[in-house]
Amino acid sequence: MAATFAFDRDHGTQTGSPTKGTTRSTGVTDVNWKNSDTEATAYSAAPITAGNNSYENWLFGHFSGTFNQILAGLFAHTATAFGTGLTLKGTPACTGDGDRLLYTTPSATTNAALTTDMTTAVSIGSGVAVFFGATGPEATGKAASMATNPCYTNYLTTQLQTTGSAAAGDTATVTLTLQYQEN
Amino acid sequence: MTKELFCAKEQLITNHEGSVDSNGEFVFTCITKGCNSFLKFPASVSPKDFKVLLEKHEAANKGQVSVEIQEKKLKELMGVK
Repeated sequence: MAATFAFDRDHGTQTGSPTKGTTRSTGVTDVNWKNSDTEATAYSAAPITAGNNSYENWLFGHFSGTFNQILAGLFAHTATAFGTGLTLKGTPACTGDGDRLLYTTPSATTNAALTTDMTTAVSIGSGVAVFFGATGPEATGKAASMATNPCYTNYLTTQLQTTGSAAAGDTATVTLTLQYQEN
Repeated sequence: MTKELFCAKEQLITNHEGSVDSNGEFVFTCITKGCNSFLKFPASVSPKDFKVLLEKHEAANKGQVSVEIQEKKLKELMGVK
């Protein structure tokens, strides 16, 4: 048997303590940076005007199924380059419970807490460390390994930032990777 | 106006040209030939916060191993043009 994995995403006004989104979408398959925080809105219906940013994308990993432990998490942009005028900013490394990002209501304002420059595709070994915990991505008690089932990563937040030199149309399709071990 | 900042793409301290965009946010673009990567900061950033964010930026991004650069190196190692 093995762990069952899904990417989930939070949306809407920040709520609770620690903060999380008002709504949670499960089993998402694409990031689709766009000028909207609504899951159902197609990216083509909410394009980012060159010079603006996308709304932040509050993605996280969710483990269920059968496993003893989830550990050794890394998150990175691992394939395909972005074009000129695009910068992808992402979550800082989580190497302690206090490092995990706290959810803030998504907006198109530059999020200075996203300190990792994920624009260039890197080897997954260069990815940022990811921690795991119970209850949800927002919850305290994140650690490098976790035996709780279900189990969640910290928020794997990203924001696509642009300048006026960004080309019109879709960006290249890039790959974001979450690597983990299970036993 | 230019300022020396760490460029995650070049993995070096490089000259960045500073500008204010249409949203009042601060954009610093690496002017190394062919790079054009940029850093953005919110309109509300204070000089003190800016310094801290630059330090965090360098610490967070130093040592990234670019797939593109490694693939170029592999071609060189294998003698592929």
